[in-house]
Amino acid sequence: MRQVIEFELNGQEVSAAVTGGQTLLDLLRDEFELYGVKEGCGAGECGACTVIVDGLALTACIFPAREVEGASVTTIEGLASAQGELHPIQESFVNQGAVQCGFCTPGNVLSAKALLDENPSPSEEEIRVAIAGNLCRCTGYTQIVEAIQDAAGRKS
Amino acid sequence: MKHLDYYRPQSLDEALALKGERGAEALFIAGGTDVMVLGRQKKLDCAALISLRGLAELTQMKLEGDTFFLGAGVTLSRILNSPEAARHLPILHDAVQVMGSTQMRNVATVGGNVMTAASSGDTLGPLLCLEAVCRLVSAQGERRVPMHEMFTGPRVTAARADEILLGLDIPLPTSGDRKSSGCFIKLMRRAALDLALINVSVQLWLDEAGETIAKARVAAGVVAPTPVRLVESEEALEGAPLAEALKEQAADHALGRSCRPRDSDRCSSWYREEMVRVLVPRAAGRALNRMGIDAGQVG
Repeated sequence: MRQVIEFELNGQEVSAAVTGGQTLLDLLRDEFELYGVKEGCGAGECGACTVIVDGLALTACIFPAREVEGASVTTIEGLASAQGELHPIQESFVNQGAVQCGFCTPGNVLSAKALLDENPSPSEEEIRVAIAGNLCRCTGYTQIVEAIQDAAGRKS
Repeated sequence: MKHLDYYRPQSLDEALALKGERGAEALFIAGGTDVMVLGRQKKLDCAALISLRGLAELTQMKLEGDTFFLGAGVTLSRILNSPEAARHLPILHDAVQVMGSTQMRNVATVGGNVMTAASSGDTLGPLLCLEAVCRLVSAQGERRVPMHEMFTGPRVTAARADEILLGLDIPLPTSGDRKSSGCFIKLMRRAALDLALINVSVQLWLDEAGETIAKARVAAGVVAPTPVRLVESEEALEGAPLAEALKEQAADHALGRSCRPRDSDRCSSWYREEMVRVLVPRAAGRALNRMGIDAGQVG
């Protein structure tokens, strides 16, 4: 049974026909071609599919697509400006060398965004808690933490 | 899983009516961090999901007199960020702090943790120790089931299939003039996003003079098919003068009848038993510390 839902996606009102068991990950990749939303473990454990729904970071791979009806969804594609100007957090990731293979990067950037929107000057511990659900197998966590600190510094 | 029907009822009555219509072929889904994973593993045996996310009745968290009401739909993040929960229910606050990840805590609910009824469910030991009461509603009305009667088998609860967990009534441990505190400790291989190798919960109430332990509740997870109370350990702690209570007694008695861990690919039964001996007195010591009592060195 397909159902048409409406929601806000990266600042634009959109609608889509979704099935009952469809995940938000599949909806974003298959219907909207937002390939910055990565599928890693498929079980909510690696954070590669992290998106922000109504201000909260969550893993799209185990989130029912139906539940974003009426909600506001942000993916990594929604961060840079239309002219291609990077978001300050993205800039910090680049400048601090926090990007290696890049697979975990969208999830880490969005976890950082959800954190900084809520808490503009987090402690290192708070940053580490916020990204504990984002696995980086290049093991570049130090640079990721430094990038988030850098982004927090620029904002404030 | 894509062919499931998915309902988003807007009230408890509507959810119950839908369940009445679809019967056994419909499952309730709250945060979905268990249900969706099962679905993706093709282990979900149902034709429809009924979402409980939109139900205002389930999302309340409030202190009313001597009862802390925790709606089943309250997310772990909301508990974590609640100063009231941190102050009155530190044992539960400890648990949500080490559950999953931020992304997981933002959607996973306390009611989902109870109804999934895994032996490793981290809120379950704290809720057992706090003597929470489950409020189950169905078309027939509401009934109350104490936590210690809730878990009847691995991933099986005393709730009927047509019942929805509305929430938990938690009697405030510090009601009246009683001094009480608790502590939860989870043994993990990494600091986040891990299931417990074991978990241990201890809530202590002091006598009026503050010199002996008047009442103790001790629970553990992953030491039996369901989360269990360690009654022998409770008995050993109760009536004991403070510092001595912890050193030997709790550890010696922690492995009571209900504690019967098994080997798994995560760790051995031997290790689990050893860790219960270590963590019960450690959690009891920290509970005493939280009441301003120096409990000495307890491992």
